[in-house]
Amino acid sequence: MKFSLAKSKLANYLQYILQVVPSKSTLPILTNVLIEALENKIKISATDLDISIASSIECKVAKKGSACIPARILFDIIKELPESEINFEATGQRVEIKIPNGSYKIASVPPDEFPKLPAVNTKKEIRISGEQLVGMVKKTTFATSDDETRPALNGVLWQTKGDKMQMVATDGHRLAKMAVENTKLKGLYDDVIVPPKVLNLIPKFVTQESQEIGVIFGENNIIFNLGDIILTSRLIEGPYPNFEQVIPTNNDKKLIVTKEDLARAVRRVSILSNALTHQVKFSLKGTSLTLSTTNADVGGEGKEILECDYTGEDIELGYNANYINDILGKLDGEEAVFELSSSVSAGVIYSPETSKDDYLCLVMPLRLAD
Amino acid sequence: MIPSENVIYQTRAWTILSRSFEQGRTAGTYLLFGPEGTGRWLLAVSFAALVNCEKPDKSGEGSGSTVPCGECRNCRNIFGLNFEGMHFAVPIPPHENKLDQAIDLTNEVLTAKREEPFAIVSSSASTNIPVAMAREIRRQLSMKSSSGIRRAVIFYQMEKMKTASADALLKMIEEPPADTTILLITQNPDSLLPTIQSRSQKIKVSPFSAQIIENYLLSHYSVSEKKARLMSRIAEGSVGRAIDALEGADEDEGSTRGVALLLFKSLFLDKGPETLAHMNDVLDLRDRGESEDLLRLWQLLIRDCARVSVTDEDDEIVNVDFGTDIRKLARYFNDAGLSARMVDDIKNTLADLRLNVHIQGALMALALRLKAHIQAAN
Repeated sequence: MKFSLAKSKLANYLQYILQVVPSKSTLPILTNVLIEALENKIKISATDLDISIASSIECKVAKKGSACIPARILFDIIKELPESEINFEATGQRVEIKIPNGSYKIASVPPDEFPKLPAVNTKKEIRISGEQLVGMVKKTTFATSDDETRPALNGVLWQTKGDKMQMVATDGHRLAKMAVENTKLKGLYDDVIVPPKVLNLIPKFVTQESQEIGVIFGENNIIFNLGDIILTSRLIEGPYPNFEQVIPTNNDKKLIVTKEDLARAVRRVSILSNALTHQVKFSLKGTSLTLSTTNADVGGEGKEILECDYTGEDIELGYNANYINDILGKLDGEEAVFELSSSVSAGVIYSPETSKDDYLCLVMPLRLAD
Repeated sequence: MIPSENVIYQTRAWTILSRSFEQGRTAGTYLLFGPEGTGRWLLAVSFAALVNCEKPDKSGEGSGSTVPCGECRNCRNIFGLNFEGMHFAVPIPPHENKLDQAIDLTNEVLTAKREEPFAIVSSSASTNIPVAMAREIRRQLSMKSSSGIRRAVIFYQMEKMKTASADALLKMIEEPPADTTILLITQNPDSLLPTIQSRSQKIKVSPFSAQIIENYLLSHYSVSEKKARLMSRIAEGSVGRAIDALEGADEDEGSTRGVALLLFKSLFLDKGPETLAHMNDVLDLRDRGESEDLLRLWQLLIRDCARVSVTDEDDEIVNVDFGTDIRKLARYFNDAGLSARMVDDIKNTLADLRLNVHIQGALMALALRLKAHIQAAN
């Protein structure tokens, strides 16, 4: 293996690749990157077994071959080098990095110890809008659970429904569901549960609104083709719980409130909320929404009254302030709509600018503190 | 680590494992039980290799059982404990239960196992299988497996799993995910939850013959034939114990065997409570493994003394290097029942140690009982 390329080009890709290299692992090979010198390009791969990343970088290749070297050592050396052409050459069990005024040698391990990454079969690739995908990711992944006793909820459900594709995430206390028009996926695959870790990497690689992303749905994994970067992730075993049955359809009380005013007020009053539950009491009466909190530990109370548009009987509900603010931060437009039923049943939150079918969030109330 | 060693050393257990694979009836969970250092780890790793081997060898080194080829990519990585489909849960010393720390400590055990698969590691009572690793394994297994790989999860010294870890893994062990084999390794299967025992296919791993141990030492260590023979005879069928003894034997009086002999002699020669004081001085009484080794050596010394008292022939002595001392002590064994009473008490104490009793208290009580038996018989 022998190739050369500019320092800045390599350093740029390595910083992305390093994001999936585990700092610790019981498998020593995972702390390495696999470098493959191909025809006029090199491919650098890393994996933590959950996610894999492979970058193709065009460069001058004098001799094809491959080598596996420690990722962090490579990155630390490259980032400190001054801008210049860097030459790589595999010699025996080492890789030599040559710069104009010196060289570094790193011990390598046999490339076939590196885990096999799924093959990218572009014939099965479906091209979808990067803007759509990033939008769905940003508006749903926040609601995934980190409770490892319910693994399916640790991921985002991605499914096709009629002419739409939708993503759903829930942790049992809140839920986010977003659907977009897309006929390309219609009937092509079963529901998949995708780890949020790989989905949250995608926005970093989508730099243009018009960019399309190739997606390959495998039986056990999903592959995202982002041009010179390929992201692969293992899927989470299902089944995903039947989320449709928890979305209420006949909540009779409706609150419309200015989103930003509510978000700011919730942030302020929650300073004096219970440190564990972050509970904020929503009291709805006439055209006013009263937010109140109490914190017995510091002997504090907070209260703010907001004007709102409310139809329905007077009601008091308790919500986790963080959940409310997470959701408000994802809604488009200036206003937020809350459809409510009672102090113990789920409330539906959406933006009046978008259809509930396209994006809605659901949040379970907390039992009100006495 | 080469796969054929399994076939040579643990033919019966390997036949059961390989047959289940050959017949397409690979169980979800296997429970490999038997003494430490008898190749249970090697059996588990070899089975992980067999189910992932690209070219299994059906002739099995002449044994008739299928063995992994040992040469394909999967075999090489599995035997190097560096395979993407393998997960390990091993007992490690107490830590802050952070995953990073648990991984570091687990890697120390895996490094020892890479160097010597028969090595007995983490025998101390204070080690346990941490919750952080149990949760990480559960998380890994909740993901779909990579194509073409059968995942293997090895739980080493399963009896050292904390209740919280067992709770985290119970469902997974009882019903492993698709394409996954769980291999539980333990000395004492009865210490595991009944639900785990009933869902596992139990495979007994028997002690080795002294000849196999001797051959292993001669082929893997630079050791004289005389020393290899001695170590194989005192190892009670465990290659791991023979290796431990081999390493200890290089340290003369400071070795485990030397200490064991000194304390043993003290039982007979010191009329007062000096033995107890010596024990406190020379043993790390928090280390269950060291205490167990001491008691096993005492069993062998009692056996040697009893033999010599009857036959007076050195050929019958296991601890030939202690021949002079054994002949002196043999005169205390004129009462034929003494050795049986002493060995029974030691066996009971060994069983108690496995149940995590207070080590120092158990050893002190044992020493007092043994002294009482000796004084009653003489």
